[in-house]
Amino acid sequence: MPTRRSTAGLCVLAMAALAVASSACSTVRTGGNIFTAHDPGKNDPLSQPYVRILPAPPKPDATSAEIVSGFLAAAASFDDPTRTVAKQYLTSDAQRTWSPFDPVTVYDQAKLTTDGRGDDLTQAHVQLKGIRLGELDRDSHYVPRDASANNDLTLGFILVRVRGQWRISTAPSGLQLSNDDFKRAYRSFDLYFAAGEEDGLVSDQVWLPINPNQGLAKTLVQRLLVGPTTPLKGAVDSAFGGQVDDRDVNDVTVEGDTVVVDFTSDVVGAARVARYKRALSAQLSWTLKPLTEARRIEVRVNGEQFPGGPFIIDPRDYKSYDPNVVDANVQALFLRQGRLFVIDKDKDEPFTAGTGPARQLTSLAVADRSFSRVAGLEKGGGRIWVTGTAPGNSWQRWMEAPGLTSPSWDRHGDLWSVSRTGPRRSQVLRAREPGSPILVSAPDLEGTDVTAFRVARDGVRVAVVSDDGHGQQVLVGTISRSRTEVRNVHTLFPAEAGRQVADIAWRDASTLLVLTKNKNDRQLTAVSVTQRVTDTPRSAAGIETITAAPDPAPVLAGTSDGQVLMWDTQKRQWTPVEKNGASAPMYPLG
Amino acid sequence: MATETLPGSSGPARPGGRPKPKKKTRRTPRQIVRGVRRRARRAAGRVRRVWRRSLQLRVVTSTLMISMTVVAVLGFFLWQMIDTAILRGRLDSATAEVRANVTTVESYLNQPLAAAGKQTPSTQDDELSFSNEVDQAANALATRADGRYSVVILNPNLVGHDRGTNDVDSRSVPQKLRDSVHRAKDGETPAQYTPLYYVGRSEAVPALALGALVDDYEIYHFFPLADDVKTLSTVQQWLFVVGVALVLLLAAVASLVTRQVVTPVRLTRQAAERLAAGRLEERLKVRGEDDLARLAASFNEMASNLALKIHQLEELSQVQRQFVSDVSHELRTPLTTVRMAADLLYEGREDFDPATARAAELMQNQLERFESMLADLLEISRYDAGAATLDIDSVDMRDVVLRAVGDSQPLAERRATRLDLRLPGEPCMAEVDSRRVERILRNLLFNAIEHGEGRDIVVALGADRDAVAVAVRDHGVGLKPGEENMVFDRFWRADPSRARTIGGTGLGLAISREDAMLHGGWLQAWGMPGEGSQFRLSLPRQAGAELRGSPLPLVPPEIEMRRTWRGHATPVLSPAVEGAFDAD
Repeated sequence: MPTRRSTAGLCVLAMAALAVASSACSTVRTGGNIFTAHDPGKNDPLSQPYVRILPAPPKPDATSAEIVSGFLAAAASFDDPTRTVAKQYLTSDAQRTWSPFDPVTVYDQAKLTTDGRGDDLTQAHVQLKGIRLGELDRDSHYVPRDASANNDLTLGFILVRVRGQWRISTAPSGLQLSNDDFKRAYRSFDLYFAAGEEDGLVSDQVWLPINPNQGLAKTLVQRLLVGPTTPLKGAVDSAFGGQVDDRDVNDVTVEGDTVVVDFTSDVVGAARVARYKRALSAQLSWTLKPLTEARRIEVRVNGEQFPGGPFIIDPRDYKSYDPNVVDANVQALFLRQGRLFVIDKDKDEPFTAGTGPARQLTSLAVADRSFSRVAGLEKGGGRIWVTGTAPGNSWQRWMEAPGLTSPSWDRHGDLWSVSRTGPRRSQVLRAREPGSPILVSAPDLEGTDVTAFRVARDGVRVAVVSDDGHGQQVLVGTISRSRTEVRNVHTLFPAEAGRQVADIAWRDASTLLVLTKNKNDRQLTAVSVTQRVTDTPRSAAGIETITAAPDPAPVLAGTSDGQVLMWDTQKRQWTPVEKNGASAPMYPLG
Repeated sequence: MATETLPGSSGPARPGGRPKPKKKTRRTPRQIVRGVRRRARRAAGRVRRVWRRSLQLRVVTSTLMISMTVVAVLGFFLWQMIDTAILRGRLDSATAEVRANVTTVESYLNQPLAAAGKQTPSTQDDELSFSNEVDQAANALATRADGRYSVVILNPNLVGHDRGTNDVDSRSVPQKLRDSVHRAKDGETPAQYTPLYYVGRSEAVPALALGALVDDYEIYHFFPLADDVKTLSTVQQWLFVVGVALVLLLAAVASLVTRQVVTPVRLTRQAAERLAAGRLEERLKVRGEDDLARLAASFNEMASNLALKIHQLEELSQVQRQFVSDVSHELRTPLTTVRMAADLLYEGREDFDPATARAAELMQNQLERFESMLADLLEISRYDAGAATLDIDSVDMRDVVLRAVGDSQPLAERRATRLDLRLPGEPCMAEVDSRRVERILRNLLFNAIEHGEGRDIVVALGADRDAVAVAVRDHGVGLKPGEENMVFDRFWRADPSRARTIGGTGLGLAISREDAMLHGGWLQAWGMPGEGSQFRLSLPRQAGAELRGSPLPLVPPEIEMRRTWRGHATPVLSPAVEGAFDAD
């Protein structure tokens, strides 16, 4: 009897518990207080969406053209850095000789042609014809092909039958990627390296292969540790030092709002000196910026805290390392009757600098955004005068040489110019104080006529307008670390018959504006130094000089009839800002 | 209370039930196994015993079982419903997403050739504008998916048109799904739960795969279910925890409820036990008016009735004993007179005629018998009144035996019976009342001589550290089974038709047994028809000590040996004293 009673009680209890439990989760509230909805976030905030080719092994009884296109597709798939699947398309001999680590050729508009005679042949020839776009070096530096040159590409494949199936016995070395393949498999990133006294950064563009086995962030940090690409070798430093390589990165992960970069202990030595540690932090935060955005970065060593306290990098602390040095709010100076004016719509007063007689100046150079020093080229091109902006400062003569180009300051306070000592003879000069310019060697420039020489705002890259007898072209080089040599000079803007380069100006650390003129037209073109991509030129009638600052600061131009114009991006036209004999507008640096 | 026989332990009673004070010897594995098995069996027996004895345990256990079943079934259905609900929601949103994506892909793949073939010089802004329509479609899907799901596009007819987004591995696409995608009618979206593999990761993620066909292109969407699996496993864990908690709660409730019921029942049982042990004043507290209260009231009524009856019976018995005692006392005075008269007559019998002389002799004999019977009756009534006391002295048991044998010697000679004495060589001291022990032995010897039919009688004395024993063995007719205890009853005789030749009163063995029990000893009998009988007196060496065993066997050794040769099972010997066991 007691058992029966208790069982009944238990049943009632169980049902009551179930009823309570089921009623609790059966309804959703339709009211209540306001609460904040949080974004669940992506699985891996450091990754970006991408598309891969899924590599397929050769199909049985495929035609020779199918084998080649299958090989190209499998080689374009980046699942496996050693391209195991692509090698299945090769004969065993070819597998030994072909390496996917050779330089990459990028082409476009490809067509496959086969000699296409019957199946009874033992050998087949397939040709890929297209346009060569460029090459990717082993150090991830992309070299575009000169647009003007003949870039036709013909790649020959020889196929033989192996056990009745076509296999490639001779393939061009390295990866052959179409433009689509290249864009799919690589992402461009700017690496940042320290320059000068480790107080500024220089950007260095690389194309990194996507590796699905590891995050893009890890690949990026690995590449950063390897060092700068060829054009910047000898010109910049890596604060990580020379003792590290890509194996020193363990992982890059996200923990809450912090990105954790885990290195091996090889990195510890580089961060001993505070200056290098700051430069290292700047390099990391700037390089990872596209992926990490405003997140803080913590450096760990083998999964543990950095020796001697947590090493946390706040990107805001490293804004001063900006390779552009100035931002879009910067003001420009211009000349009117030998006096300096600030471009300002409300005020129209001469700048108090440069007492003494008004000099006949044709172009300016501004050392920093507070205008602490201004350099000007005297009419005739024989002297360069420098003045401070503090009241009472007078013009001092810094350089005196025949045929000087417009002066250019670098971010470290040195003044640069090139003297034309004779036909096809130029000498690069650098001055830190009045009187004694230092001769800088520039083997690639000394045998040409240099008409413009501008140091970029990062203080490392230089843009030069030179003429070696085949017309004026724009060259880009770098200043070596010791600042005694201009090297790594290569053509950025090739010469064209009947075209002259009137002026050049750096917009930011990697974009150069080029003002060209031919018989009846003047054009302004923006050229990217790292990608060598140009945008569509805009007309620039009557413009003599240009100056630019990072977007969205407007491009300013001086005309021959005494006006300063501003490019209005909305109306897409030039609008005057200063008139009455104004000339030679100039932003600081660049 | 220990009357239940345990299944599994039936069969011959094993002597292993008690710890043996053996020397430590090295045991063989078989012995160890046997020991383990024995211990396990004993533990099982103990559990079974607890199970049978505890009502509470049984109720709690059955509640546990039933509630576990109920909770398991309910939990299973609940979990199934949650599982279905979550996965259904997931499937619906996934299907909608796939539909939208398929439309997007169709617009890319079916765009006019002219639009697809545009070859604009790529600039930095549209870095990811592909000229190939598959790449355009895949890129659009990858951007839209943004890591939430993965897409695989396969084209079995064209070379190099297989695409995947992010790090999805192509082995994730199950062949079954590919087949059904080709068979599917318009508007159908085949779906399958499948493991999703990623490049560079060996372990798979559970995922929902949906397939669609656009022209020649198979488009597979993989929605990772890791979050849902996590949710479900959390729900599962909670269901389990709640279920276990519920079951334990129910068990606790059942335990509480049964405790309320069982406690009064247990109290009643204890009261009944005490009542049975003779504490007739035991009563239960009656609280309330429920069933248990009524049970207690009935119990109390029963107990008081019982006590009343027992009291009446005791009084009656007391009256009877008093009567016997009084009668015996009252008879002695006339008997003394009668005796004196009879002595006179007996002494002068030679002067009487033979018939009268014979009558005088007879009267003398019967008077003696009457006297001794009266004495025995008085002795017995002393025991009944609890007035018997012991006169303890340390004596050598050999002397006691020899004195008793000496007293019996004339009778034995008369019956041509030889008494065979087996006494130990050294003294055999014990704290006993020698007069009473002598009387016991005398009684046993007379009894043996009377029933010994002239054959030899063996009297053996044995001793160990704690006890001494005297065994008297005759080879007469023996005892029938069941008579071993009856021989000690008052006025019992084996064959009522047989005459008492020696003139025993029929109270001798009863008195002897009372004497033995007064010493804290045992008096036991063994007998077999045709084999004779043996009586054994076992006494503790120290007065008041408890007797644990006897130094002499109850069954004569030669009989025991013969029995083991024949392989007969030893019959269970009923002990003469309750609770005592033989230690042979």
